[in-house]
Amino acid sequence: MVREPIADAEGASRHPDEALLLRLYPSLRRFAAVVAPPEVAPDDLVHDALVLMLRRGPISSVAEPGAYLRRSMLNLASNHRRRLGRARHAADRLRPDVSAVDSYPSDLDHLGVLRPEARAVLYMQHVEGRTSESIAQVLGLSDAAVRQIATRARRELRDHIEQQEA
Amino acid sequence: MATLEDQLTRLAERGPVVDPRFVVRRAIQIAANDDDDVLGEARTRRDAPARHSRMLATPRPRRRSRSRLLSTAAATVLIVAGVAGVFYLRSGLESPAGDGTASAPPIESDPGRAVDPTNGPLLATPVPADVQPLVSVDRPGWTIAAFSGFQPVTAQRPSTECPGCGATRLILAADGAPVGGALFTAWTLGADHDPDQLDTPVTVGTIPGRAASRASGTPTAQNRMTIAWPVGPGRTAFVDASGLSNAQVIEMAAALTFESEVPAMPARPPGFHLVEPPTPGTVVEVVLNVTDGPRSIELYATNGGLHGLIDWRNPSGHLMFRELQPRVVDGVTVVVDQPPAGEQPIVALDADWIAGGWGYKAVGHMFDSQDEFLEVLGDLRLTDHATFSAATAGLTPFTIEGVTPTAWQSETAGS
Repeated sequence: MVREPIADAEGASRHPDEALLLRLYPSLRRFAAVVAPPEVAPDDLVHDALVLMLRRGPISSVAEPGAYLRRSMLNLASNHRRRLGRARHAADRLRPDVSAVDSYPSDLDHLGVLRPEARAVLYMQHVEGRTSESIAQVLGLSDAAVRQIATRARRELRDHIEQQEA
Repeated sequence: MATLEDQLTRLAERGPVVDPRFVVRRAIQIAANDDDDVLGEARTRRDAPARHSRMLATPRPRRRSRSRLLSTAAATVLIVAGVAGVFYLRSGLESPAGDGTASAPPIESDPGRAVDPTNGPLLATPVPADVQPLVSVDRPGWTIAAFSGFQPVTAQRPSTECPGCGATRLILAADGAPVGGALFTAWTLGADHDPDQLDTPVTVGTIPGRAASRASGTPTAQNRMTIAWPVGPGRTAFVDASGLSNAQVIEMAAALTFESEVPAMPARPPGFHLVEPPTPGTVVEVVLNVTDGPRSIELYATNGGLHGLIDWRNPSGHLMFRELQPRVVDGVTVVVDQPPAGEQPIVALDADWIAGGWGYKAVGHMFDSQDEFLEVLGDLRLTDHATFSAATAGLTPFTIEGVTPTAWQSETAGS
C-alpha cells in the first residue's frame, strides 16, 4: 500500500530540503500511522511535524531530522489523543447515549489501548528492529525507560486480549 | 492471532497514502509563510486535524475519520471524449433548503439536448460516466495547482470482496435530488460483530441487535443511525442511514432480505428508489486542486455515482459520515458542511453533488464563508483536452493509493 518512491527531478530544484524530506517520508509516514489516533490521518501528522520543523529553520539546523520528526509526531499524536479524549468525555457527559466513534471488528483494535509512545516503542523494536538504546535516542528517553515502556505495553496488550477472550 | 510484528506492520501501512510530494511541498509552503498560520487555524477545528483528508479517506477501514487535504494552488480539471451539444443550467445561489430533505429536481440529461463534456458548468453538466471531466475555473486569479493527470488516481471498483464498499452495499435514496435527501444503506460482513461496539439495544424484526444514533433531540433530517445485528452464523448485517428517524430505520432494516451477498429489500417503502451500483470495472476517481492565494479547492470526481460518494475506500467516499446542509447552486442541489462557528477563515468545508455519471466532492479551504466557497464552485467549468493541458503544463500529476479489498479482508477477518 505504500507507494514507490517518486522520482524527484522537479522537486529538487524547488526547495533545498525537499529531496531529503521525500527520502525520509516513507518511514515517517509508517511511524505516523502507528502512533496517530484512529481519528488522525497519518499524512496529516507527518505534515504537521514537517511544518513545525521547517518553521525552526532549514533541515541543516537539525542534527537528526528523522529522529526530530519522529519525536515531534509522537508529541503531536499524544496531544491529539488527550484532546480527543477530553472531547469524548465532554460529549459523554452531555449525551451519554451517543456513540462517539463508529467501529467495526479488527484484530488491530487492541493496539489502540496503548499510548502512542508505547506503540512507537513496540513498532521500532519489533518492526524496525532497533535496540532499546537506539529507540531511546530517537524518542529522547533513557534506555531504561524504553525497556520499561516496552515491558508494560506487552503486559497491557496481553491483559487486554485475555480480558476480551474471557 | 497474528504476531505483534505483523499487526504493527499492518498498522503502519494503514490508510490510503497521499503523494509525499504534495505533503512535503505544502508543509514547505506553510512553513515559509510566517503570517499564514494555517496550522494554527487548523488546530481550532472541531475534530481531527483537517488537512490532507479527502485524499486520505479513512485511516483504518473500520473507523471513520475526517481529515482533509489543504490543497495548494489555482484553477482547472478534466474531461475528454464525448458527445456534442450544450447543457446549461445556471442562476445564483439560493437559500438553504432548511429541513435537510432537498427538493430540487434530480439532474438528468435532457434527451433532446446532447451534453458537451468539454463545455458548460461542472455543477450542472451531466457528464457520462465513461468520459473524464476536465475542469477549469472561470474566475480571475484562480489557477490549477495540482492535478492527477489524465489517469485516475484511484480505481476502487465494485468488489464483492469488500463488505460495505461500492456494489456490496444496498443503497436506497429518497426520491428527489441525487444528494441531500434521506439515505438508507445496508451490507453484510462475513464475521461476528462485537455487540459492545454500538451502545443501544434494538430489535430488528425479531432479532436483537445494537445501534447507535445521534441524540434523540437531533432533527430527523440530520439524524444518522447505525445498526448491527446477526443474520446467520459468522455473518453480521449493518445498516447506515441518514435523514430518517430511528423508528423508520429499524422498520426498513426489518424489511431486508439476505439471500445474496448484497442485502435486498423487495418491498421498498414509498418515496425511495434503489440506487443502481456502478458497473464493475469502471469506477475511477480523478483529482484537481485549484487555488487563489490562500484559498483553494480540492476537487474529487468519482464516476461511481452515489455509490462512489459512499464508498469509504475512495477519498471522496464520506457522504454518510457528516452533517450536511443542502444548498441549491445554479439549480443543482449540493450538500455542504456547516461552517464551524467562529472559525475565520474557514479551514475546510466539504461539498458534494452528483451530475450525470459522476459524483463530486469539493473541499474548500480558507474561504471567508460558505457562500463564497459555493460561488467559486459555480465557476468551475468543463473544458477541452487542449485547454486543460495548457493549464496544467509544468505540473507533475500526483497519485493516491487506497486501502485494497484485500487489506480490508485481512483487517476484518480477525485472527
